[in-house]
Amino acid sequence: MSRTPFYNLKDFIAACSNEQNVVVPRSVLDDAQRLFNICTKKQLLEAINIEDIKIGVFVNCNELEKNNYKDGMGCTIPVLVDAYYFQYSNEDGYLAFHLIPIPPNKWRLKSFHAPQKEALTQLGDCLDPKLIECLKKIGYKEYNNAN
Amino acid sequence: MQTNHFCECCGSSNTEIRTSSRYFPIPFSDTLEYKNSVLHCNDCGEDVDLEDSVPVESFLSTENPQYTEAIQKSIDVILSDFQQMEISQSHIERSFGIPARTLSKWRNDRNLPSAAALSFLRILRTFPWLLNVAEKNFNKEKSHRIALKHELQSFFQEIEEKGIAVDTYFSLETNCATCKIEIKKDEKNEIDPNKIVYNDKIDFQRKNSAFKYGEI
Repeated sequence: MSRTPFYNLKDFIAACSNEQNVVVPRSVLDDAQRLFNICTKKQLLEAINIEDIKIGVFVNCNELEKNNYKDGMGCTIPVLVDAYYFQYSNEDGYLAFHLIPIPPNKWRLKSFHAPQKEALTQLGDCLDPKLIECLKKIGYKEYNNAN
Repeated sequence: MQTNHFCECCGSSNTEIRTSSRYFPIPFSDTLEYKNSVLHCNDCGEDVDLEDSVPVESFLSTENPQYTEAIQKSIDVILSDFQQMEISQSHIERSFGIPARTLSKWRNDRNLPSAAALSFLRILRTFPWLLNVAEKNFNKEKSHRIALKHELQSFFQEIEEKGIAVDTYFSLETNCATCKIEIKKDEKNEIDPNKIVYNDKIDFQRKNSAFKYGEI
């Protein structure tokens, strides 16, 4: 797990301007519909692109677990996934994305859901406590398993 | 059906084409089922819509007769509900400055309203007290009081229906107004109206086991 993002977030946001650039699995669309009544891939990507969905605090960068991408030698190509918290319509959420390591190198929106308690507690491991204090002052809410 | 496609989510070639359904509940009407082809990955379990399938945007548009029918039903249900609430169509039109007989045209002439007009109907059906807000010409202060009054009515109705188990403290909030309420029960385990404390000038009286609300 890394404490710094692997991808440039602006590149991902810019890629969302074109539906062809981003793969959105059905499970992600179902979550977006259930949480925010965002029903289509087009609506979801547009909301990210024009920053109605405000992607904020970086959570972590992990290796993709279910990875079957192989290079010419049959070796697995490591894929890193960046995760962020976002805000949409006064609600917090969590999203994760990565670049598909084979041409045409589309992006994949891997997750889009409400912040999970475990994921939120990871924030404490990732960030400097002083930074968390600063975030709290500007309205960041910390969750823990006791809540 | 096994395919030569690789899964874009994990890179596996262990994929198959399946028919999958998504469900779109149309407010105040039926739930529509959208079926299309997806590429299912047997390794990671993800489904991805195939590019040649019917776009969901077309499905959720008036190009689709099933969608149009569901919208028409939605309008019928909403307008019938207003009738049951004894809110006449002309009352709505007058209060919101909508041209006369617009609502009846939507219902009888089978002309679908615009998406914005449909949203308006749904919002008004969900919050019928917005009619009072329009009657007050959207005056900010009066509007917030109407909203607060409505929330309090719902709140006390719920208290009456469910009962309160312990001494409870509540805080009701609208966009601009907050009403803090403290409720305590007496020895007979009944809510004592004299012990309802609130920070707004709202007059509550308990009569015949029902709360009566004074004018705000």
